[in-house]
Amino acid sequence: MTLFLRVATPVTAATLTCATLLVAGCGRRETTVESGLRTQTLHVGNQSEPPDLDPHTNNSSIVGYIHDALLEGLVRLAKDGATVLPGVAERWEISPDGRTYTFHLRTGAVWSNGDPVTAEDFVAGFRRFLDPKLGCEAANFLFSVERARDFLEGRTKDFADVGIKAPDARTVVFRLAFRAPYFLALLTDSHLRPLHRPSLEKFGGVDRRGGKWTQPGNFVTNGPFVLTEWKPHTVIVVTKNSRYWDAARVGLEAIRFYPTEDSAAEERAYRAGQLHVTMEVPQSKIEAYARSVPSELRSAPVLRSNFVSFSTQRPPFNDARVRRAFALAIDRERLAASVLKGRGEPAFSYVRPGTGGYAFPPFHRFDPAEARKLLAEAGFPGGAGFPKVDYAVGSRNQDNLAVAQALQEMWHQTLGVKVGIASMEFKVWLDVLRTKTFAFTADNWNMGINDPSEMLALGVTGDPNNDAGWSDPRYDAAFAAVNSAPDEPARRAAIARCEQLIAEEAPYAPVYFSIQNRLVHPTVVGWHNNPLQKTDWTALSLARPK
Amino acid sequence: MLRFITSRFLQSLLALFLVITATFFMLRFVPGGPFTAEKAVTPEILRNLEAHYGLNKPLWQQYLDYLGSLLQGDLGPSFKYPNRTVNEIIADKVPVSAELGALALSLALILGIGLGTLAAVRRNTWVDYTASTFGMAGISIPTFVVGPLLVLFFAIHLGWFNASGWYGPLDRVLPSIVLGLAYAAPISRLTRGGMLEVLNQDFIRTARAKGASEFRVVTRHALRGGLLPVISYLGPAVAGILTGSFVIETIFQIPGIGREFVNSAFNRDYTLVLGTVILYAALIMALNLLVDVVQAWLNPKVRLEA
Repeated sequence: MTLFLRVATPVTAATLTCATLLVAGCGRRETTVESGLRTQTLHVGNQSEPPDLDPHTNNSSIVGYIHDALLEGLVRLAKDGATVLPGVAERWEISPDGRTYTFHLRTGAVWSNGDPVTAEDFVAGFRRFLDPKLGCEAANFLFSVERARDFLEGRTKDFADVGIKAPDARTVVFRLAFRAPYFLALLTDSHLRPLHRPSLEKFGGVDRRGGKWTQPGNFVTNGPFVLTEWKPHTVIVVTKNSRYWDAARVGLEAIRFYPTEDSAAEERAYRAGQLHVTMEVPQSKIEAYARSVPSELRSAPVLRSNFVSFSTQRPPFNDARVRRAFALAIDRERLAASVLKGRGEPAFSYVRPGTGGYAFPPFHRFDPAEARKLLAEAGFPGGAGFPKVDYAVGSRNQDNLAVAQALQEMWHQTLGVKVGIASMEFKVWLDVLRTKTFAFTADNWNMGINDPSEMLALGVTGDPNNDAGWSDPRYDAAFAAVNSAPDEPARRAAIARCEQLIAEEAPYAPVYFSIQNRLVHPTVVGWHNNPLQKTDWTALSLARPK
Repeated sequence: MLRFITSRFLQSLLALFLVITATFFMLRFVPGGPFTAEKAVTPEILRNLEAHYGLNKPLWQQYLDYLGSLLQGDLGPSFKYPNRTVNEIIADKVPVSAELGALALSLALILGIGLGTLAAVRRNTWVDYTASTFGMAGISIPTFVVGPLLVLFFAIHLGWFNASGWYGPLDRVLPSIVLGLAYAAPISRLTRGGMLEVLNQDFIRTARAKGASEFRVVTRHALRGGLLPVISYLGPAVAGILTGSFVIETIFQIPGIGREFVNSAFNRDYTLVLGTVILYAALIMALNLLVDVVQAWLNPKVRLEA
């Protein structure tokens, strides 16, 4: 026995010595954020691992953030998220009818391998974006271009029919199907960038999915940065592109994008000095940051609307009075103050006011008396006899369930209706949504285009994203009038008419608009938030705060 | 012995085939598919996507195609990550999980067997109580509590380590400790139990009577039998520890296979789900077979019965 302990003691001693040495060896080291300041390297939380860095096979916003560093379009977005600045195009003209856009490319723009960026590179990029073989989810962005939709949906196989042309190496011309005042700003989107065809052809062809052309060393870019490292689920590194035509404007030497799937782990990494910028802030930490270091908490509204979708083809929500009653029973201000607490603001219109520069009056309101009256008219006074319905909630967003429970309580209090909550795994919920096997559901839309028309399309008969299954000829006509409007006042009136009809018929009941919270280290200079969540990486640098 | 191993091997192959078949068909009955995305695409585009991956063929045809390429060692393309194959993903991620697992397992074995033996030898003393308390605490406190606590103290407060990531040798320390502690606890409990049983047996008394030192009695005579329960536990435990821990990999943002295992199911990445299931099933079967062989070697009783 004593012998056993005699052996055990030296082992313990050795372990303790090792531990001490280890501890002495590490000490408090220079953090990543500190070394970043020295090397002008920005460390950014980028939410999750990009499926691919191909801009045309996915609609992932996190891929877009990286493309904003790697590829430059005809035009680019200023820090405010609204002003459009020259990119590869140095100037452009818009025809008086607003349907022809002509871009003139600058001569100094080159790819990172030295090839010049030509008009044909842009046409090739747009063609690939609309290629039905690749099937990009975001292809609807170009539906304003003449016959683009026909090409995507196979009604024409010839891209020459589509209103995108390169009359010479320095000119790109777009012919639109209708007047789309948002078109210029749309061209700043990360999907709509030029394509370096030789490198795609080298790795399996232009219309191939999953080619290796997006790997470091293969990816030829024309933006302020080049891709130098991609370790899946670990880091993506981009470094300054010395061949970028405006390299003098670029302050950072490198950006390291980290997939930070777990927001709690991301916040700990931020506190340990590993990240300059986080993608989000855990719900439970927002108030603490707002109190202790408000300057590091950057909160900004984003173009994400959260609403209730009613299945308009099935009872009980095939009756507009029932839908309106449920919509009027939502106390949005109370919800924002007591449940969302800095993560959302009350939504009194379907499209967020300010989208595309359009202002809306509040179309929706909290009106318990009117709600009860409508429900009684529909045959359910005080909720009596109302069938048992479940509110379907997808589990991906943590807020969804908390909001659903608050709504459940409001509908019970105001209408006397007992609603169940059916919480389901995200893809199961999507399947329920597509097969329209729900009664009503917690729905949302992330806008890719900064214009109301993108979200208003969700009310059009037969649209693949018309989750409510709603069909109203008056609305279809109003939506058509948005696109055919000859001038701005007519367009504004048509948009307001759409909003009005959604408020009256309530296929969708707006609940709240999302707010994005991020943590930004004090050494980051030039950080900016804008509704489209686009970062101009060239505007950033690192410096010790004064 | 050879006959025993051969028959067990054939049984395992059959079980693996059943696992593959069941997983393949169950996946297809789950609502939602790999291309079900937040923004719906037109039916035309969906058809193109499905045709690209052969999902438009009849299900039995897809199943046969899959088995065919599987026999050639090809696990297919990933649906979620179009520019990577399942083979590439597994080859990329398994070494990470295995490295973490090996470190954690070493720690768990040293700590678990050491504490368990001490507790059994010093039964019903403060040594035993301390070791048992550690065992109970280790089993009851989940890693998602221990992990962030250690990060809070060692990474954020003291600044010795990164809070997350898998970049340098120092990044191995915290996750290995958290994962190791979780396995050390049951190992120490099992060791204590096994040792207590063995220490009361006649052959131990004989060894003592013959004048063997206590150290020799414990290490040479008792441990061999006392570790049998630990060995049975280690089969599935090693398979679990080597194929990664979803929780640890999430807390520490480690690029291991454990997260793929879970996320591939959420993404309906059919081929990646199958690839990780096959990996896990094959590993469990191989390790269980190994455990049986080791047990036969360690325990004359089992050997004789076989």
